[in-house]
Amino acid sequence: MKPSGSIPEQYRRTITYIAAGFLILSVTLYLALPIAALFLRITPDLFFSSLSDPQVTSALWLSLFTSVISLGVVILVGTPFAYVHTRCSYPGKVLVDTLIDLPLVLPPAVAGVALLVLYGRAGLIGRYFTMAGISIAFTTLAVIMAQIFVASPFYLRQAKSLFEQFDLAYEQTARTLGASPLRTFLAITLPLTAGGLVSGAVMTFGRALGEFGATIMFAGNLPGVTQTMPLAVYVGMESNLASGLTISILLVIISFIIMIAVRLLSSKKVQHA
Amino acid sequence: MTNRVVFKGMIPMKPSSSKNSLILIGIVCGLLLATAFLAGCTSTAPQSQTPAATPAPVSATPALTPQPAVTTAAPVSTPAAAAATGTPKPTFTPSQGNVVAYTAASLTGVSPKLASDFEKMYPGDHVVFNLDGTQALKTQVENGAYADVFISASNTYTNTLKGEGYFVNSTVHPLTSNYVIVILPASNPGNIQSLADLANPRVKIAMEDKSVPAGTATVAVLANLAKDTYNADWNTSVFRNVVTYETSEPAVATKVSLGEVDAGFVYESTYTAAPKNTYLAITIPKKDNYLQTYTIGILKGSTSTGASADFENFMLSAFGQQDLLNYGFRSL
Amino acid sequence: MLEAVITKKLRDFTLDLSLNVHPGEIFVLMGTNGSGKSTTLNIIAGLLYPDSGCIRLNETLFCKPAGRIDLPIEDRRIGYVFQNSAVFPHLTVYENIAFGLRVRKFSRREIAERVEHLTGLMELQDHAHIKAGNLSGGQKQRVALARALAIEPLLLMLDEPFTALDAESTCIVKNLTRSVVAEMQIPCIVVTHRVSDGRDIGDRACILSSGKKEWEGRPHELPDEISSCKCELCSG
Repeated sequence: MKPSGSIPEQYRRTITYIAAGFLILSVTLYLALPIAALFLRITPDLFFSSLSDPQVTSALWLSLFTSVISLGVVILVGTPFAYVHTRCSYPGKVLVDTLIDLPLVLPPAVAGVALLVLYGRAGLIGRYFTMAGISIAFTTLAVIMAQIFVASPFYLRQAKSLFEQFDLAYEQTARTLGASPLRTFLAITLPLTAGGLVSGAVMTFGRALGEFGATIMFAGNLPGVTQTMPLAVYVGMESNLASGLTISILLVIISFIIMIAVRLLSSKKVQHA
Repeated sequence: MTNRVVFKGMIPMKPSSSKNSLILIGIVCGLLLATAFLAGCTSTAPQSQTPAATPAPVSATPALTPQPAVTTAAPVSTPAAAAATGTPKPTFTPSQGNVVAYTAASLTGVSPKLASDFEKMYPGDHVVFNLDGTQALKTQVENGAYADVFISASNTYTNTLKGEGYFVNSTVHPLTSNYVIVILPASNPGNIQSLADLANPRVKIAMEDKSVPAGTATVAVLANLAKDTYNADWNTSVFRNVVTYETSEPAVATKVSLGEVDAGFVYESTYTAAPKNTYLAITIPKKDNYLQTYTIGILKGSTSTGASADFENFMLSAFGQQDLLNYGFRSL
Repeated sequence: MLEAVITKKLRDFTLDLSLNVHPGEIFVLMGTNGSGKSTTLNIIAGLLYPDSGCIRLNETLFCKPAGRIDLPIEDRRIGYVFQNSAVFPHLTVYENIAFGLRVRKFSRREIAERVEHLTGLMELQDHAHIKAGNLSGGQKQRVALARALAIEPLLLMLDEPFTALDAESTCIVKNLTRSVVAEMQIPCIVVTHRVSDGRDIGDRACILSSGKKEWEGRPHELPDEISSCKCELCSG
């Protein structure tokens, strides 16, 4: 029974397809066009000659180095933490849950200020480090600390969610077969959650690589020591457009490589899930 | 049938009415796009600042450090006033009374006074400052950001913009000047007593990046000092002590005020305008110092030419000049 | 011999029962959904802790809240087959069955012997190197049983072992369970909601309702339906 005055069926279908097509196209273009514009704004010659610019190479090396270390720390510390957090109930668990999410909503510059007034030379904790002769602010360590602070929620939330949803029967069975909790975690839980953990790690790496606001506040901007790629882009865009564009393009390429690598890895894993 | 359930709680997807979902997605995306469009139209170019009279209070918030402002340059021709000037206007319509002034960050401290005095002198006119490193502002203008007036801390950048045709060249005038000074945290943690001490081992210095006018000025100052008084080794040691090249001049002041560095190179105006006892200072001999000349000019793209001319008149007038002098700038 | 006296306050009722299972005996635990059957098994296994009581297997004291005694799960040497078999999907059949032996650091040769023996018993020889996640429900259940038996448990517990099985697998599992239990002379508890299974496999049976034993006796004395129509709605 067709309501009178409604659009006939075949037109409705066409309209739906067009609407869907428009949606997909607009979203895709919105994401893809700025990236394309980056590539189009620089000539290949300029790009390749910029690659040998020391500002570009030192920023590239520093970014990769710090992001990898930050990721390593987040995974090594964060995985057992997330596991213990989900398996045990302890006083203040809800508070910790909220704190894990905090860096996600905190503006990075605020995070940078917070780190600075805590670990800086005149900081609450930093002053004791200074007495021991250790400086934290304005060092590469500060870059890593800033990255860890802002990027860890991406991994922790993912790990938490995976461990929470994990069917306890697997762990319980392993325990009855004689495995200790640690062995159970390593032999059963980890392999079966690895796929999801990897995707969390990828997001964490991406966030660490792109970190700017907290870095410039807490670690400062010193080529070769704390000038990561995002900082170099910002500084470069005003003084040396070619190097700014080159670094931007490098960041895009690195991101693509990571995403493709992860897709390949996870497609292999899915097969035996 | 293989049992693929690894995680419990996986609910099979209900084959819902695909058309309804598409329509819903369409509505949501449309709303998002509309919101983004509206935000683009009504936003200023980033971060108009109205800090309190102190450019670098001890408990500095990061409001003075640059956001990655370059990426948010709003290429719209609607002058906007919906920024944080403390007098929010609900909607903005282009009218003669509003001036968007892209202004070198070193005028942050004096800008509220300038705004209120300007509005007393020309009732009905209203100015909004976009304060940032001159290099950042220049890039924004070059990428299509709208501004009525441009106050530059660097002749080089002014000349570039003139050459590129952004200025109404006849309106470009020297505005004021500023010398470089060395500031120290009030507690002087590095025990700096003289310029020579800047080269001492383990001293931490903050400086502006060379792309910032204050940075070029500092480099020139240090070169002069090395030539006249100290030597090249001193110059090398000072640079070795630099732990950060900040992207705007107020950011250097912030690092000093937090006590995180032993010394910083800023403009005299920053020191003069700061509350008493925020910093210690070491002056640089005039013969070695670099006089930074600020220029003011009206941009060709301005649609608020009347109010912009008013503003420039005010800035060049005795009133505007006195405000600047009170905040530590030097007359020309 | 398993002697268990258990009291535990649960959300809807209090679990309160005592259980004695002799070596070589299969004890069938029956009851409606939510009556406390799986909880009882979990407590005996050590996955849950009772409020009071005492659980003893042969000479070993598993658990005594009054004396603060709680033997860890991994030390109890119980073979526990879960309701959904819980075979490790990322490991092969071989590796699943070998898991408990690897934990106990058996030699490779020993492991190979035992696993081959058990896969033969379970008629899974051809599937030994297939990832367990790719098996059918019935095959998984047999792997789980083999895995539990590999460690030579002192007590065998099966939670709804026949629910997911087809007729052929059910037959195999029932026969195997009976012969293994008889041969190893270990006590065995089987939880099931189907009366026919209870009659087939059990030596003794009891019916649990809201945490309390309502009836205990020989399987052939079991009423045809447990708590009238409620049992038919049991999905295990």
